[in-house]
Amino acid sequence: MKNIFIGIFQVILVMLIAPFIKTFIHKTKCILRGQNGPPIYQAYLDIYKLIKKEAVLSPDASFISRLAPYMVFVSTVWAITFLPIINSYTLLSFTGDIIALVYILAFGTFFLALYGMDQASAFGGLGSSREMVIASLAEPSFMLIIFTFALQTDTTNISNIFTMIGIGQFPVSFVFALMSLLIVALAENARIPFDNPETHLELTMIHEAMILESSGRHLAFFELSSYLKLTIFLTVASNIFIPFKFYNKTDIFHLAIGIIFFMIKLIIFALPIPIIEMSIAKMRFFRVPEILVLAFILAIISLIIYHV
Amino acid sequence: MEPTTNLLSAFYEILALMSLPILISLLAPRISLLFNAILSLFLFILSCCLMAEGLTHRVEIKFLTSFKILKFNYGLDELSLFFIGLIGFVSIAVSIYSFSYIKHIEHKILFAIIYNLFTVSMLFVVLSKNIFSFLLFWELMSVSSFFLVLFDYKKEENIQASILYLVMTHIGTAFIIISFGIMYYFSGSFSFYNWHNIALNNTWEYIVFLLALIGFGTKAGIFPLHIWLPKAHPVAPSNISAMMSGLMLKIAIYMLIQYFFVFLREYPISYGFIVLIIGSITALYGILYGFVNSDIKKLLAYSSMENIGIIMIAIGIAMIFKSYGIMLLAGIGLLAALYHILNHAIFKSLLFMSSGVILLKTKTKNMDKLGGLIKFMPTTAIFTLIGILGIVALPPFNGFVSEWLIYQSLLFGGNINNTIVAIFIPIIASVLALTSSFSLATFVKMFGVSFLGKSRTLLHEDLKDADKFALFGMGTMAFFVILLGVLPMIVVYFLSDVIKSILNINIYNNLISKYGLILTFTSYSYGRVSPLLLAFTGIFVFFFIYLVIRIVGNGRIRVYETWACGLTDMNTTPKAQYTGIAFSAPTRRIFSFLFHIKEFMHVEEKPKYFFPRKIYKIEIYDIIDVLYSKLTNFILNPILKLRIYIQSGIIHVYLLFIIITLIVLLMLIRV
Repeated sequence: MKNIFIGIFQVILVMLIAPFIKTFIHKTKCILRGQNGPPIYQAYLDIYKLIKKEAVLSPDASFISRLAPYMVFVSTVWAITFLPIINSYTLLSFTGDIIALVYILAFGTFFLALYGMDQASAFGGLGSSREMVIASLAEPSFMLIIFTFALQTDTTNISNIFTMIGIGQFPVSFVFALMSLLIVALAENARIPFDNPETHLELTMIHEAMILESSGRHLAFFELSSYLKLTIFLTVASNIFIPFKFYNKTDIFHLAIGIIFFMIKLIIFALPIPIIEMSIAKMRFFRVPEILVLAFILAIISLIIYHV
Repeated sequence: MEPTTNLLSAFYEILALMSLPILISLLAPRISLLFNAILSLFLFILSCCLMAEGLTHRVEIKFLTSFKILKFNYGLDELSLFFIGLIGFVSIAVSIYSFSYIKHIEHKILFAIIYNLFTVSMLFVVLSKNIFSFLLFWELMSVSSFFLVLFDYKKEENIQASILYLVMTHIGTAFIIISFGIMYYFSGSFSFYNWHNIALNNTWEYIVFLLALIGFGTKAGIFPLHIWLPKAHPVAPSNISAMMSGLMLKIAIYMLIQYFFVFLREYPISYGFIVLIIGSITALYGILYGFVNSDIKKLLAYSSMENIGIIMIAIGIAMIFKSYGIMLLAGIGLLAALYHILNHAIFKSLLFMSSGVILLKTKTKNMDKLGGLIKFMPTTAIFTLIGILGIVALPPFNGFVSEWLIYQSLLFGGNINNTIVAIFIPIIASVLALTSSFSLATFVKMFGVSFLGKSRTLLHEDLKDADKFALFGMGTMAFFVILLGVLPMIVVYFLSDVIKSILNINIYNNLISKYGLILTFTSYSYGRVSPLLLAFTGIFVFFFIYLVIRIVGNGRIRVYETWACGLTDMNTTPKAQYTGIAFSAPTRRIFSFLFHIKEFMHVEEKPKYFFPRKIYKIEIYDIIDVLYSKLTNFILNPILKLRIYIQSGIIHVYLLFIIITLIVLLMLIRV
C-alpha cells in the first residue's frame, strides 16, 4: 500500500513541479538579462490553454501523428512511475531499473522522431535527423556514467543507487561524472549550447522543428513531456550527488521535509542551466560532437579515477 | 524414459520427412512450401517438447550413416535442439510468406527445390556430429544459398555479389577445414563427441581459436570479413534474405559456441577479450554503415552485422567469465547471446519479409523513392513498426530483454578482480549503448522515410497490402516480438536446459520469477526488470492519460495544410521532405573518416531563363571493401604485368618456351 500511495504522490508531485522548473529557468534567464520575465506560473497557463484548444493535423498525417504525442508523454510518465524522487518507495520500483529508465526515455524519442517525419514537412525531417544524431552521441556518456555508479553500488536498481551513493565516497570521480552528466542533460533536453528552446529560427532548431506541426493538446503533451524529461534528469542528478539519508521513512514529517529538500535540490541543480545559456551562444551543429566527446572523456576519467 | 523415446522417434520421422518437400516441389512448387511450413511446425513443436522433457542421454542418429569409406555421424544435444527449433520456427513463417512471394518468381520449381534443400541442409548442419557430415551439409548450405542469391541471374550486380559470397564462404571453409584438421590430429577422432574438452597446448589452442573465429566469422559476417554480407543480402529474393540473415548467420554462431564452450577446455582471458572487441567493432561498424545506406535491404543487411556483433559481445563476456571459472555468470552471458540469437531471427526475418513486400509492390528498394506507404499498406506498416520496436530494443519488446541481459552480464564483469577488465567492460557497454542508439536512428530513418510523409515518386494508385499469406508470415513474427518481450521466462525456461548441458549451471533456478516474471539473479543481485509489469504500466498510463484528456480537453481534430513557410500546396513538392540521404548527412560528416564516399552532381538540362536542373548522386563504399580491392590490385597488377611477358599471344614465343622446356628436360634426364 505504501508503494502505491507514495508512488502516485511522487508522480503527481513531479508533474506539478515540472512546469515550475521550466518557468524558473526562463525567469532566471530573464532576470540575468535585465528583463522582467513571465510570472512564475506561466507554464501552467500555457499547458491549460493548449489542452483546451483543438489539434490541427496535416492531410498527410497518418495514425502515427495521432499516436505519437500520447506515446511521448506516456514514456515520460512511465519513467517517473519507477523513479524514486523523495522516497525510495515508488509505484513500481521492482519492475524496472536504471537501464529500463534510459530505454523508456528512448521510447519517447523514437516516437517524437517519427512524429517529425510523419507530416511531410521539410522541418520535421530536419529536426528528427539532428535530434537522432545528438541523442545517439549523448547516449554512451550517459550509459557510462550510469555504469560507473552501478559498479560502485553493485546494483542497477535506482532506489539502491540513490540510497547507497553519495558525493562523499569518491569526490574526484563524482565531480567528473557530474560535469559529464551536465553536458548530457543539456544535450538530451535540447538546451543551449546544443539547441535553443526559445527560438523558431528555421535553420538552427532541432527539438522545436520536430514539433513544429503540432498544436492544441498534442503540443501540450510535447511541451509537458519536455518539462518532465528535464525534471527527470535533474532528479537523477540531484539524487545521485546529494542523496537522502532519511530515505526510507514514510511518515508525514519526513515526507514534508523530503519535498522541501527536493525542491531546494532541484533549484540548485537547475541554476547552472540559465547561467550557461546566458554566458555562451548556441554552437554550430557540427561542433556538437566535439563537446559530446568531451562528455564521454570526462565519464571515462571518472570511471578510471574510481578504479585507481 | 517412455515419453522421450516416443518424442524422439516422432522427431526422427519428421526429420526424414523434411526431404519430402524437395520431391514435391518437382510437381507442385507452391504446395511444397506449405508442406515445408507444416513440417517445420511439427519440428518446432517436437523440439520444444524435447527441450522441456530434457534429453537424458546422448542421442545418436543411426540412419544414413552406413557408408563404407565415409562414416557419417549425427546426434542430438540440447544446443542443436535449440537451433533446430529456431530453424523450424523461422521456417514456418518464411515458408508461408514464400507461398505468396513465389508467385512473382520465374522458374518456380527450381526455386522451390533449392529453397527446400537450403532448409534441410541447415537442419543437418546442426545435427552433424562429425567432420564429414558437417562439411557435406555446410557446403550444401553454402552452395544452395549461393544459387538462391544468384537466382535473379540476369543482373550484373547479382552475379558479382553472389560470386563474392561464394569466394568468401569458401575462404572461410578453408579455415574451418584447417582447424578441423588440427583437432583431428590432437584428438585422433573425426567425431565431435571426442573433441569435448580437448587438451591442447597453448599455441595450438590459440591457433584453433583463431582459425575457428576466422572461418565461422566469415560466415557470420564479423568485422573485417563481412564484405559479402551487405552485397549478398540485398540482391537475394527477400524470403531468402530472411532465411539467410535469420538463420544461416546463426549457424556459424552455433559452431562458434561449440568451439568456445564445448571443445576448448581452458583458455586465457585474452580469448574472450578478442571476441568482445571484435564484437563491439562489428556492431558499431555495421550500424554506422546501416544508417548511411538508403537501400532498405542493404540497411537491414548491415543491421544484421550489428546484431551479430551484439551476439559476439555476449559470447565474449561469457568466455571471460568461463576463463575465470565463474560458471553462473558465463551462463548468464550465454543466455543473453542465445536470447539475442532468437530475437534477431524473429525481427530480422520479419523486417526482411516486409522489405520484400515493399520491393514487390513498388518495384524499388531505394527508400528515397518511397514515402507515404503507411496509407497504402497499413497492416504491413504496423507489422514493420512492431519489428522495428523489437530491433531497436525498446521496452516492452523482445530486443529489450536480451539487451538488458547483455548489459547486466557486462556489469557483472565488476566481479572479476582485474583492473583492465573492470575499466574496459563499462567502455564496451557504452559502445553497445552507442550502437543501440544508432540503431534507433537507423530504423527511425527506415520507417520515417519509406512509410511516413508523402510519396516522393508517383506510386500507382492500386498499391495495397500484401496478400493474407504474406501477412500471416509477418504477423506470426510480430506476435512473437511482443510475446517474447513480455514473457521472457518462457525463453529462459527452454534456454536453461541448453546452458545446463554446456556449463552445468541451472540458470532458471537462479532467477526469481515472482511479481509477474521478474528477471533478476539471486546470487548476484544487480538489476531487476519485469517486462510484463512494464508493459502493463505503459498500457495503463496510456489509457489513463487518454481518458483524462478526453474529459478535460476537447477531442476535435482539424485537418489543415502543412506549414511550408507560407508556400501553398501548389508550390510545395514532396521533394522538400528529408530523404534517407539527407537524414544521415550529419552522421556521414561526423564519421567521415569511416566512409568512402563519392558524390556526383551533374546538370541534366539547362533551360534558358531558369536555374539548371541538376541530379545529385551519392555512392557509399564499404571502406574494408575498398581496402580489400586495393590489396588484391596490389598483388594482381604485378602478376598481370608478368603475364603479358610470358603469355604474349605470339606463337614464336610459345614455341621458344616449348623448346626451352624440352632442352631442360633432356638435360635433366641426361644427368
